[in-house]
Amino acid sequence: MDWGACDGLCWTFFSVGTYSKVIITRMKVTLYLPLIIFLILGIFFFRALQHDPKILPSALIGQAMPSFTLPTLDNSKLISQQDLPKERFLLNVWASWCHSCAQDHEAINNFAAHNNLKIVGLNYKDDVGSAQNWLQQKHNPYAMIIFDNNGELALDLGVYGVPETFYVENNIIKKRVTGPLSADKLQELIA
Amino acid sequence: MKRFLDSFTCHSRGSGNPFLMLLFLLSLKAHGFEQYDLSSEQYLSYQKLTQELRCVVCQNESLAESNATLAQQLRHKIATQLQEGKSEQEITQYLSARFGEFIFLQPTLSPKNWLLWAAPFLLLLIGGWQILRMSARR
Repeated sequence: MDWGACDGLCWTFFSVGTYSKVIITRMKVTLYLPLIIFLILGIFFFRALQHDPKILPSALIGQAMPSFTLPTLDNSKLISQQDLPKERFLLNVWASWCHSCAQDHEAINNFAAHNNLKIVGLNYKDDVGSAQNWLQQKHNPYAMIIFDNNGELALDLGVYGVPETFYVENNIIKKRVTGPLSADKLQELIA
Repeated sequence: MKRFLDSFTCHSRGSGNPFLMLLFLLSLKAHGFEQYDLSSEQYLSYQKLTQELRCVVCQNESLAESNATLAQQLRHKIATQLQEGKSEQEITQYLSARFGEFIFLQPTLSPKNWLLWAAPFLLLLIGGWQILRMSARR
């Protein structure tokens, strides 16, 4: 534009033109605002769809293992938190009456065959005889089994369904997985 | 996920059907919702707590309504702690330390969710402001 030739009326036209442009861009933004809000909400709702509300985060992550004194499954002795493996171990909550524990147990067995990480079993509100039968049939991968007949320790651990598995390091609970384990879930648990 | 949760029995309440409701009441009787030896004050606390706390297994039921074994165990825990003279607050702390915030049917206000609590009022403010602006323009 030749600015030298622009004076008086020309400037008026120019500024009105710029101003109307501002109004138009503003209107466009307000026009698209509902769409933008819709998209943002859409992202939230879509993410909520993938989220299973039945899987609860554990309140015990980062906390020490609760103290306990309970018998072993074979009732040979009483054990407490001091008898647990020192460095790292998995704590697997299971019961012979729980259907999906079979799938869980298979994953645990496979894992135990290729790993030397100790696995502690927590037998939950079970019958000793059927629990022992179950292990005979399906193999026993556990370094020790705590027999929690009343679910005391399970309550202190915030267990709300069987199976559940905790990963404990230096007496601190690091992670928890609810539901039957798989090779992937196990890798994630100890990662 | 359902498969692993079905290991606990959840008795949901009957729908509007009076026959089902009657059945439900009968099953209540048959299961014998536990009776605890509580003073009237403790009993009020017991009722309040079991109605405010969630059964984490049957997620939209309160502890008072649920027949899951875990709910039964938690009711027992609440009753015995009341008998020991624990306050309501001590008991809710005990339970939320184990099961997390989720145990409360009514979520508490925390830095994580204040926006959610404030959202209706914020939206109302923004809406009101918009209306004022639009009417002022005319």
